[in-house]
Amino acid sequence: MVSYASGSLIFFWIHRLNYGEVVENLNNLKTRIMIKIDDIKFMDSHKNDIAYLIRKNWFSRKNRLVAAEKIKALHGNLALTNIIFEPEYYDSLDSSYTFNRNKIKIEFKAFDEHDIYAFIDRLYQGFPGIVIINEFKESYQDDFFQCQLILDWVSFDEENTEA
Amino acid sequence: MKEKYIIFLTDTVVYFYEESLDEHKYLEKNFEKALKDAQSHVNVHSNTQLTLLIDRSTKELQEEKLPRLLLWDYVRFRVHKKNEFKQRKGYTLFHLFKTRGETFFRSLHIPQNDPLYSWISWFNSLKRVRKKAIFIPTEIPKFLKKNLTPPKKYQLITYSVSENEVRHSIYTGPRLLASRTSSDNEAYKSSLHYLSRKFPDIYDSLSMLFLNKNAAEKFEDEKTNVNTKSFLTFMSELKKPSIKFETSTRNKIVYLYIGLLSLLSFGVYFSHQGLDYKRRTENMLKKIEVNSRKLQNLSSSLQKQNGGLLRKGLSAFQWLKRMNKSPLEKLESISSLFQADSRQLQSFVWKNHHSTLSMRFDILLKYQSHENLSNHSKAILSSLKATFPTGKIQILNEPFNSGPSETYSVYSTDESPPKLRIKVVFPCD
Repeated sequence: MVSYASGSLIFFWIHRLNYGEVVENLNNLKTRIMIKIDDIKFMDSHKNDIAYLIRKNWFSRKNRLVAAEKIKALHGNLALTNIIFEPEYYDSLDSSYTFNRNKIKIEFKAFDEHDIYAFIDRLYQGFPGIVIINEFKESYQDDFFQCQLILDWVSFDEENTEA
Repeated sequence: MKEKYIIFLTDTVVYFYEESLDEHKYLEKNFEKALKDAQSHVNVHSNTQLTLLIDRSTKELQEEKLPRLLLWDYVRFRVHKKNEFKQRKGYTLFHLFKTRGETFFRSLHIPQNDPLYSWISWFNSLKRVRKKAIFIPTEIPKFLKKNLTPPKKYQLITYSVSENEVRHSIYTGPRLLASRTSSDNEAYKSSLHYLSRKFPDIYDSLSMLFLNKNAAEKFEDEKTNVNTKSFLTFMSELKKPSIKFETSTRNKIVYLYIGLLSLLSFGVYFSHQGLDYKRRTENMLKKIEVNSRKLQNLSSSLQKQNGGLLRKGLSAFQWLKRMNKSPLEKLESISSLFQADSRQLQSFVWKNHHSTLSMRFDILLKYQSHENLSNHSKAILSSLKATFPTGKIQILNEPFNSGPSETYSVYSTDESPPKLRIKVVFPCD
């Protein structure tokens, strides 16, 4: 009788433990499903933004050679005199995120102001990354517009951004 | 009606008390006759309460010091002792007690040829009676603990067991060291002397309680308000004696049945619960399978994209977008401002630093007279004000006033017109 009682207790205990473990697994699985569903909903509602960011290499490493080629291709009627890529560095820009920043200096000459504006517009649209213009200098000299653009090429730094 | 009887058994005297009559009696000195006498006095029915106080010489009381035992060893020891007592025949009672970190095994054996045996047999045979048997030597420590404050390491008690006899008992905690009955009131001294060989500190830490009149008078400083009567009353009112008779075989069988039934119901209950959990676990496992498949489908539809990363990245981009300003927004306005003669804007600097947007203009002024120059300058300022109503306009340099950053040469060969330097600062959004 004692062995029957202790046997049933062990039987109960083992199944109780198993049950607890299985419930935990199921809850874990349900949570993961909820997260995935949530992710899908999020991606559906921000489909265009995400596609834009992926196209702009927001999440990827930067390629200076490709970027330089692209600037050269976008210049149109301008005469590019100098393109300088400064070293990459991390910066929070006073936010809770961390960004990879590259300063780019572009110096060029133009006959017509409208060529300058068109170049800036093309740069925003066609540059293989997100750029912020920090400084734009324009001076008129000897029938030319001498210009300097100082840009920040910014991408998202996932590793250093706190969750 | 409730009837309460107390029988006080010593080595020589049987003392009988019936509460309803408030009557004390000395029964026959012959134990067998006294038993018959007691049987004739006690009315056995369900309201009868019988207390047997047994206070005899303690030769049948044994105490053994036990080493530290594991539970399993203790159970084996107990079984072994039980078997040993069974072979000796008669009544045997035993229990364990601890004092000063040491464990003692105390046993009390009443052989069949002992006159007390027939009393115990009669006592055990009484049915439907509320009864208890108290062995006074094993219960005295409780009385001493109550009446000797603070109790010292050793305790001595003396009390009358009959008209001419005094019993003295010496304890250390619950452990009985010596007990003797004598007609000599001072017989305890020889016991103390004898014990002092084994316990040299006995005289230094001894508490004494004298319940017999003659002795108490001699030790005035040890006077207390207790006496033999209150001692016996205390003993008779004890609810849980430390040593007691085992339950009858019939009760044992009943308990055994109850135990077996409990074990059975325990087993049935837990088997049922276990099966229930097993069934629920199986159901859960099915659900897990379904959910795993669902998760797999969802993962493949996400195409290895990390939702968390996308969320954070998008949120960072939106923040950056708010900070970002394009020079094109202002350049359109500036272009229209200087459309009349665009060559008068010599240089232009647009800066976006730390969320502050600023523009600097170097404007060449064309004029025919000095009065005309001032008006021309004012006209440009008012045009700028109209174009950028939210901007704060600062004049950095004017050609007609001396300034820190410009040299003005009257006979200069340089024919470039005078320069006006203006800064427009836009407040943070």
